Amino acid sequence: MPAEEFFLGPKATALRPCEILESILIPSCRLKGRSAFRMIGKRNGQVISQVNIAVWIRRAGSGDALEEIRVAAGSVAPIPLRLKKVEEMLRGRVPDGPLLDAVRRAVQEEIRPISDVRTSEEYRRSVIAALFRDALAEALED
Amino acid sequence: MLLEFELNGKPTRIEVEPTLRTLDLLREVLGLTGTKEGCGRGECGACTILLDGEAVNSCLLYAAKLQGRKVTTIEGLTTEDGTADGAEGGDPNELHPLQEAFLSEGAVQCGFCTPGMILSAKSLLDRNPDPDVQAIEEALSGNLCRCTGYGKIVRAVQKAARRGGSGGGSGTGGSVRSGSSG
Amino acid sequence: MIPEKLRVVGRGIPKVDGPELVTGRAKFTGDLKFPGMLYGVARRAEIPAGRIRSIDGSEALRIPGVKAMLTAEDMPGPNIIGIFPPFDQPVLASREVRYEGESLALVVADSREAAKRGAAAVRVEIDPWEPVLEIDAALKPDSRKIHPGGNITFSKKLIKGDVEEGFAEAEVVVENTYCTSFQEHAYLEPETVAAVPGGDGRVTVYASCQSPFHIRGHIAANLNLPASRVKVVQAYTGGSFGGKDDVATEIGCLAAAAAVKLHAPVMIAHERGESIIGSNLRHAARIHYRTGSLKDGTLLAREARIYLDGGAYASESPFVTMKALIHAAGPYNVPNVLVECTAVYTNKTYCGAFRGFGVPQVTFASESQLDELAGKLNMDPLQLRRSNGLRAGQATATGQIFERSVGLLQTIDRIAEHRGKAPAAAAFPRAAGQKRWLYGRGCACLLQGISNGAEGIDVVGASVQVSQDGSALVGVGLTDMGQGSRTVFAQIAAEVLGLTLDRITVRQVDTDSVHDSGPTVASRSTTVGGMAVYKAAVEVKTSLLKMASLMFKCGEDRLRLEENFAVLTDNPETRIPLKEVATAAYWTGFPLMHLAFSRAPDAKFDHETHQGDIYIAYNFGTHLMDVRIDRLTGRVEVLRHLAAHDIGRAINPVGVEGQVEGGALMGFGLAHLERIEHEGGRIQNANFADYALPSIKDRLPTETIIVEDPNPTGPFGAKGIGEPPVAGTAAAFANAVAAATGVRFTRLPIRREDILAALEAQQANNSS
Repeated sequence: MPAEEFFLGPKATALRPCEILESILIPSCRLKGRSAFRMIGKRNGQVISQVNIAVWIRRAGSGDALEEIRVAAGSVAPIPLRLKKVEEMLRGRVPDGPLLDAVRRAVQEEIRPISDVRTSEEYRRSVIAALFRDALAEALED
Repeated sequence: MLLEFELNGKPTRIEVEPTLRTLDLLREVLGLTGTKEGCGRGECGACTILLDGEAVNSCLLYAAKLQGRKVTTIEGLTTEDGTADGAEGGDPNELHPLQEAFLSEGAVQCGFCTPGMILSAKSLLDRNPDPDVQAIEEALSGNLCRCTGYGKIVRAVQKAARRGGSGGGSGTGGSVRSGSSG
Repeated sequence: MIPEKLRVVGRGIPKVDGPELVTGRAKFTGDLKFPGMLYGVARRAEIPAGRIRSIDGSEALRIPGVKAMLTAEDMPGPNIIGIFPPFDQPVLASREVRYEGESLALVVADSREAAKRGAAAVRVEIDPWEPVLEIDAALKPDSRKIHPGGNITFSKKLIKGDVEEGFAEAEVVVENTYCTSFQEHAYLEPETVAAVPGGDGRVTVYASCQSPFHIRGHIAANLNLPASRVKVVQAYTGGSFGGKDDVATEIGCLAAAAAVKLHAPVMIAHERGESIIGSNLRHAARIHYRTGSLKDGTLLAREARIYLDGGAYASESPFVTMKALIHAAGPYNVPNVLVECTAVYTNKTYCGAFRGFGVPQVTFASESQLDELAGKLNMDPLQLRRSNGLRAGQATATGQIFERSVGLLQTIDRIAEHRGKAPAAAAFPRAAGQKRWLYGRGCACLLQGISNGAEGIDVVGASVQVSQDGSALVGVGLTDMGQGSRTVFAQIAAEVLGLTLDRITVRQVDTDSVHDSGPTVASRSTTVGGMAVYKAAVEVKTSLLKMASLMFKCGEDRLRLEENFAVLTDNPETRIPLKEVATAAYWTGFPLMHLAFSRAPDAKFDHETHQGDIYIAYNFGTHLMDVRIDRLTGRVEVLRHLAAHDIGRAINPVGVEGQVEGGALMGFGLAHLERIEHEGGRIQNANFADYALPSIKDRLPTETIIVEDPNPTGPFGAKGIGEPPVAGTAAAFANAVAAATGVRFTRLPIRREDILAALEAQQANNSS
């Protein structure tokens, strides 16, 4: 099944009793392109994530529009969250300054974080913009 | 189950509950108390051992997973046979370069994190004999220390690396001690 | 007293107990095994407050392997522990619960698993009460009384001069309220004891601890035994920092009671979660502070009102209260000081001793005030401190005058020499995303009283015994918990006796073999402990010299002991091995063992105003920290950290660095990373994932600067160093962050999220 359908809630997956996860398949077309991941926690080592984000992009060449993009964030919702609205804003576009400002705001709006023992909802919402910026910048590097 | 594995260079056979924690197998059953329990949840690294040369938290490892594999504990760094990988010839009181460096650099205070810290460092130096500071930090990031502030620990690992600190080679045995660990 | 050339003292020799630690051979308490040993696990309260109606162990006792359950009724003695009368803490609670995690019963079984299962199966009925959780709630006159005497644990004042006059004259005043949070010791080895009953009616308790005599006294009282029937042995201890005082006593009493009752050895080894919840924390503090000065920066008056949240039991609260009082005004010459400090009970895990002992909290407040003042006066913060810094001959906040060993100004000057230019973006031209970083520099000065001060009698016993083979055995009543005191004692003995270090053994601490020396706290090991070792060694040296003078047929004043020889000073080739001297001394009848007693002068002070002579010495320090802060995430990178301390004399410079680096990182944790999270009185982060003690990637680039202004009351002029770095680092960090962000943070820890929130608010304000 698609990974998106596998995660149902906090510590809950689509596995039925007596089932075990046997393999994770990544289509080879996804191996093209570039990805980057950023996380942040309370400290620098042995980090339990307060919030994290992964970005995967594919484009023909540097400076070109994004052919395909995936953005997913963790610790911002009951499940790992695909940020589909954000993806839509960037798909087929050239990621320039003004667009990125709008996209960063969209990232902050699309996530659904809570406050818990790790950190506050406000911090999660604030800091994910910086993580997204850094992850995307790394993925766009040539 | 009948567990057969190599422990500090020696073949070992023992009847165990498969779900016995490796930490308890070492400390309670085999009497090797050098490996410590600091948290029981894999969050502090005090229980670090080497499994086929890789640093792992023995508090999270079922004994069953040791089947057919090589385990090194802190006791294995100064064995009766000499160096950690069981090579022949050597003084049981002779310290591994990492142990000496930890001593000379003042990287030991209470000593509780030390066995785990040294083994994580050994795992690093065995695969990367000339690590930069970032590599050292990465390798030791799972080992917490509350006494030293870590600065001298980093210097000790660097010193051991300069001395050729991987000690007894890569575990292929043999009759001559390899490495410039002397 | 101080010979011209020292051979061993002053050298950074490796720890004498190092080899057994790096090989894993050293036995910590949990490594010990005794035939027939049983395991004890406590059943703990799951709510923070309530009346205990019943504790039912019938189900627990049916579990295979479980041998017994102990409750308060099974304590032969009064079931009470504590540090300062009136002792208010039960070993096992029986009438009421005062904090979540409090021990209600001990289940003893033949395996740890069975004991855990047994503990879980104990049925407890508690009528819950509304917990009293905040300082203000506790102080309300109609609030529920956590203890019969009310919710104030201890309250004292320090009065020097007249602050009202001082403020009236002041031309500039700064005022603010500061808060600090609960901190956990987080030593890597959780609390562990093993009690072994002997056939001779004695019980021996092996403990991971720092106050073996304290434990002995309480075990004897609670077991209704004479103290001479109880022996406490300190095993190798994996860190303590003040945290293994009360709780080691609690589980020591429990294990001993169980061992005596069941005629079997009993081990209690805490798991990490119960270590965090069930043992003392650092007091959280709220400090309202006012400082007044002239326009040129001369301090005229300082006034502080301090509240300490001490949790459910008194523990060390009275002493922390006094120490906070005494240190609140900082290492400055201030003519008018008024400090009021009140410790309060709440239904949370109790607070007690923690490296620094109130000084880190008040230093943060005091040093923040000074920077706020420097800002108003447009003065360099270090210069403001220098011009007010205490000099020899000036009175401290308690009116005590030291003629010597007041090295504060030297530490400030060394920092000024080494500091270089403040960091700024221009210094890092090629850093990616340059505008993203904010740079700042902060400094702090501190003082930390050495040894017990006002907390009671200050004595240490030490023994030195030289054998016929010329080797020496040293025993001291103070414990090594990693800080290296055994090594320091060995160095002192070696220096005095002229022996090489390999001929010296420092034995394990056990209460049978040395005089009651009190707890190993307050940075006292080197100073008071070292002095006792020095005295004992000198007595034995006298015997050796007397014998040597007979053998050389010349006066003792022409002889020296060095490198395992007795040597003729004028002609060092003429020498006799010390082992021959020792053998001859034995056969001639000169005593080769001495038990010495070092007693620091009692504190003499007025208990209403805390004016008088309180400490035998103070350690003075100055810290400087450069940081850069990521504006988008709140992450802080410490670019530089200088820590200068006047320690009198460094007996072992590597050991000193170790204490400074380790203490600094603990202060950094207090200031930036660590916070015990309570909700409804329950600790939410009792593990090493969510309680963010620093990892190797969080370490500081601490550079230790040693200043030596010899202390007449310490061996070779030494003063302690264990605690001071905590306070200096925390305060310097807060000032550095304030300088970088332009925001004064008044609450510790200043976490990434706090910084980001403040920067965003600042930006919002700027744009509106």
